[in-house]
Amino acid sequence: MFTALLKKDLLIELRSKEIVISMASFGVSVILLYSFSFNESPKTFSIFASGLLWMVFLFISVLGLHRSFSLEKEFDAIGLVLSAPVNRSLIFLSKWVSGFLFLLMAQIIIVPLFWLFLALDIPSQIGLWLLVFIMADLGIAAVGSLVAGITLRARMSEVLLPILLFPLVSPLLIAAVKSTDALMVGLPFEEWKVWGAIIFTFVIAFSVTGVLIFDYVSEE
Amino acid sequence: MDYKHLGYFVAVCIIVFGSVISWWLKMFLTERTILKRISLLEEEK
Amino acid sequence: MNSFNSKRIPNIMAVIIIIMLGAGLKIVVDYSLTVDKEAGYLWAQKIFYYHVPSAWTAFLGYFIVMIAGVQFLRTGNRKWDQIGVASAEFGTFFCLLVLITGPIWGQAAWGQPWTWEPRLLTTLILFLLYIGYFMLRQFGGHYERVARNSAVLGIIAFLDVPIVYLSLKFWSADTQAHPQLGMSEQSSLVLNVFFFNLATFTLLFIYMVWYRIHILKLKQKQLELTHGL
Repeated sequence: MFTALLKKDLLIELRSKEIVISMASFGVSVILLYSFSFNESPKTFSIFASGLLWMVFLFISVLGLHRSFSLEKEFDAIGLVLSAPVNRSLIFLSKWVSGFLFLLMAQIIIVPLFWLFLALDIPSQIGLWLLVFIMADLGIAAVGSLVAGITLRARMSEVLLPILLFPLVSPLLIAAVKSTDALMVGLPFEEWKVWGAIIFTFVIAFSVTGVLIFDYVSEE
Repeated sequence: MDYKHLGYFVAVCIIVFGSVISWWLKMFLTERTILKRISLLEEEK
Repeated sequence: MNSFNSKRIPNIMAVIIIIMLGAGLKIVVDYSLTVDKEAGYLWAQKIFYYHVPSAWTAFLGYFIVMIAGVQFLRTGNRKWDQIGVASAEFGTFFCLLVLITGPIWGQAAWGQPWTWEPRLLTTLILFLLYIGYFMLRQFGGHYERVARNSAVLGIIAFLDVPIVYLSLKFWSADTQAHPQLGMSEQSSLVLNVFFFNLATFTLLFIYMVWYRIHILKLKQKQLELTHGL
């Protein structure tokens, strides 16, 4: 059942490509604006680079989550899915994984361009660096799907989603920025393991809560 | 006596007590209007 | 249903709270004066007797929102939703007091109103989250849905608190050194005054929530009457 739900999300996206394309193009245009407005040497810019990068990811994840959930709303598909005899936790899981995959796909387009445009150095511990991205994306997708589920049927849901998501996600943002920062300077893992632990805790906490609590979200 | 710091303290007291009192007044007035409406509605029946 | 002020227990409670607030103010003004002498900023130091109890009460309020949320989702009883809303409102009320008195104290103690201090920041993040909570209640749709979704939000908001606090603590470790004394380092007199005010604020909180729930019930009754139920 889980694979069927996930396949549905991915197939819709594969046909229209609207979520990933809009996320990626929004992200790239923000980066373009960054390079216009911070007309600094790469050395100065690299101090702020990871913070700015994660801000872009937060913005595009709001975009993607909202789109992904309002697709369900358009034909009241979620009403049908919710009334089907499906365990709701599976709906959360499928939304979580698909949200994560969309964010990752958009990042695959954005990150190389970010590095290229702003002439940054490529970090040496590339494996760890990718792991930080994957874990933090999982965290954003978990809280994001939960909050998007809550706000889905509210009026002004497109405004409510970021208003609720940004404060909730702030510890993850700090941790992700700090660890990408550390990796870009080339610090050993020992120096920033606290941040790794916070990202890990965040992902576990919100995925477990999501699975347990999504059952109760907007039961009609 | 340090009057500047006394001023800070007095400001905090005014804010804390003032907000509690104005909250109570707000509750009191809301309650009164609702009670009035309820008694009107009950009379209508 | 009668007015809240015509009931006996709330009245007694109100009188006790007024006496305690007055006595607390008197104690804070003259009793603790002898203790704080070395602190240098005598009067400003006393702000803490209102700042910290407000913070504790705010967190108590948000904790109750979580408990009420769990209970509401389990039982579906409207009572728990009312407790949740009322606690959320007064949690936010005290949160705002913390956010106003904190910078005043900061101005007096450090000469700058805002410092990136983990506890103040955690309060600010919670405050922002709860603005979202009230917006969700406002725009969420019909009652059943709003009650469910805001119960879920109340639970995840409180779960976020320890993670927010920890991350801000590590984050601000190198930005700002915050002069603070541990509880055990304070003299017992200061602690007594502090706990007295804490008790007063907790009592005040209970009274406020109670009054608010009473009004919510009245509103519900009015609604039922207008729709001719």
